[in-house]
Amino acid sequence: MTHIMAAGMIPGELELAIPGNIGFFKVLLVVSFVLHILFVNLMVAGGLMAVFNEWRGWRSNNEKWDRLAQQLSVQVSIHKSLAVVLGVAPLLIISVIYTPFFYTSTILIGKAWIMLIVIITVAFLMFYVYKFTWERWKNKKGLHLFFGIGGTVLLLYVALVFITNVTAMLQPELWQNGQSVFTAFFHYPTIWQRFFHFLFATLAVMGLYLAIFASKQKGVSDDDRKLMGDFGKNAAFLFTTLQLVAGPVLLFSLKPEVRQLFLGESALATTLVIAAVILALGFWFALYQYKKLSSGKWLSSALVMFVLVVGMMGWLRHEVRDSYLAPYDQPSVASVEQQGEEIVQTTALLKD
Amino acid sequence: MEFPVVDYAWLGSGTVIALIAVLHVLVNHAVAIGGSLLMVGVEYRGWKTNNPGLDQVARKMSKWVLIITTTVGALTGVGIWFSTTVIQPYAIGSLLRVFFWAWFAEWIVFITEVILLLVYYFKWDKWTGEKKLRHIRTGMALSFASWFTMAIITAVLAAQLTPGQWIETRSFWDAVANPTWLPSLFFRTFVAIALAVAIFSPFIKKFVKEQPLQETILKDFGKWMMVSIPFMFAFGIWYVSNLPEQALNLIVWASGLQGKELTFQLINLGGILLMFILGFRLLTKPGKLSIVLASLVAFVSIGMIGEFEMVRETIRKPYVIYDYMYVNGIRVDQVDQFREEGFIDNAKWLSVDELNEDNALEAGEAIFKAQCLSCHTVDGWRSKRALAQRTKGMTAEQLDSYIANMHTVRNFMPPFAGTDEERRALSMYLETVANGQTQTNTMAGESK
Repeated sequence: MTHIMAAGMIPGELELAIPGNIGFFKVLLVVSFVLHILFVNLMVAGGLMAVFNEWRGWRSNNEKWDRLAQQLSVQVSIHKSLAVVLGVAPLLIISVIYTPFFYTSTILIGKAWIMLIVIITVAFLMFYVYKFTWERWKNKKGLHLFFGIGGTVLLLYVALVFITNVTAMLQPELWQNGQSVFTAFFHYPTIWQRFFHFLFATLAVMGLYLAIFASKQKGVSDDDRKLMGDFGKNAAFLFTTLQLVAGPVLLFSLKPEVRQLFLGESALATTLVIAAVILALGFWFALYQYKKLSSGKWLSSALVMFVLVVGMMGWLRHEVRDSYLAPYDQPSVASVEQQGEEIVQTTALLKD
Repeated sequence: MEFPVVDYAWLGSGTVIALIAVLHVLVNHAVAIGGSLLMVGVEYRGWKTNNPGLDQVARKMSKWVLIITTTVGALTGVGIWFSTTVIQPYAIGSLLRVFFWAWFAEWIVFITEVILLLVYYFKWDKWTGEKKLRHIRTGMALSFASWFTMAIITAVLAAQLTPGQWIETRSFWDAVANPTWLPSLFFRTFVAIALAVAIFSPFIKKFVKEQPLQETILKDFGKWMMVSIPFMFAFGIWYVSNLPEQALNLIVWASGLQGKELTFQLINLGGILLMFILGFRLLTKPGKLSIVLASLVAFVSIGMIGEFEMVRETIRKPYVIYDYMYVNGIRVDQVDQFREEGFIDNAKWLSVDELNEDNALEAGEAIFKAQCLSCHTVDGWRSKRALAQRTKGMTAEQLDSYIANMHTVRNFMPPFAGTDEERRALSMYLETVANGQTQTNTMAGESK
């Protein structure tokens, strides 16, 4: 068994105890991570959509796209600040309850990990330049776009490194010392599937956000409002459709022992997958209806479905993590059944 | 030891952490805490005296406070997590277990701070007239939230140096209410205000063209400075008087001016005197402020906060958490165990499984990486930490007898934690470093 070979390399627990109930920590981890990733979605997709629309406006000489892009750039600058602060809690919790795994995977890509600080700072500063020079560099679109594209590309790289770390922590049997982050990108099996799952989610989330936000905007013309709403609606639908492919691709790329749990072996895991698929299809259908009929009712249903899908995906993602780590028998990791029970109990406790 | 080790060959691990941490303290103290206070002060003065010019200056300040705190400020804060996780996993992992809920509370305050900052920045045009007071209060709340995050983090930093009762009780509240928390918190509070005045003054001088406006602002800055200096002094003395004796004795050494106590005192008193002169000039002749003086004080005060942080980190040696864990991550209670059972047998991620007749050099290097790399380099830029410089010309025998006693001869060094044979292997490896045979750290070895 590979995990027995790897067991000798897994760090032992620290001497000091984990300061609280692990089930409670896990609920907190899932909830705080979902909040964090939503703002990350808005930030990353905001950048992607801003540069796309600015480029489209520049090429087609149609200012309406440029105005949409400018509004998106303001969104990026707001959401990026919240994305960072909201990321602190999940970082702390994952550090405290998965110390041996998360610290090791982090140290193994240590130099790239610390460089993220420089890269994110540069990306954010580039976004500020992008936002604050919109009028001033009206006739220097190439230069202006360079800052937007630069910031966006850097953030996509950051996402890839984060995904690499949280994927690497799950497979101690693949840990290798002295490896560069670029070889790590291709060393752990599910990184790219996760990356595209993230990318499509990001664009779909921002699409939905824009569809809702468009009508609430102040100080813009009705045409611009409609433009943003339609753009958001189409993006949400397109990328949710792609997500219906990317999700199963990721599920089937999980290592067989884990995949089987979610495909029938474990009642809880399988139920979660089925529920997630049904909710995702429901979300997709609500978007489809909204796209066709443009009725606020369908937008509201889409929003409700979205909240449920995201919650379910957050939980599912956590179960994948604990299923990968279950064979390594650490105090913070139990089997998927015990896990589920623990979470259900803790959630019940919280509701009481 | 449990985790792999990353080797920052030339830069050195300590420098990586210090670069991020000092930048964070600088931005946090000067801009987020002190700067936001000055900013709201200017806005308040503008409102009270019905002076829209002041309001415009405060608004411009808020743009820079927003840009700097949400980029460099926030990211270097997260950067401390990132760098310590990679370089000091045992220390930060342990601190996280002691202070988790303090950090969690800090996170909530941090979110509040960012939201208040965004509201403050985006509501300049909307909260005017009758709503102006609400805007000012938002700014005040923002300043307070910034300060409050510092209050929490200072508890952790202070506990590393003076864990107090925690060592025995392992109680969270004992760790928080440690002997240097409050003095260092209030010391930092007034440092932050003084630092902000020093750094913002040259910019006000340069960019606020209208003379009366400039004078009003600078005069207020002068008041802030003159009030802060005595408090800074008083709380500084309280802080120092609560330090452990060993740490106290290391202060001058930690500043790099060992044997030059007088120089050390002159430099630091001179810095404070310069701040005082700036404050006095601002207060009495704000119109005649020289940009040279303002810039000089800005640079000197940045240097002083950097020096303070470096000294504070250094006087904690040989510990990373006083009386609990050494700076290389080995706990005080582990030393005897490693001496008896052997370090290599108790370590994962070393490039060797065991020490035998054929692999002494390789084993020595592996031990070097695990026990020394958190402070030392082979030939990095800080010559005091580069062992190629420090051990130049020493033989394995000399090194061996030195390492056996180094923690008693030099009390800022942790004891060697391993068997006699392992110590000899380390000495043999260091001999190759001392004689220039090992030029730079080789790549981290394969895991066993």
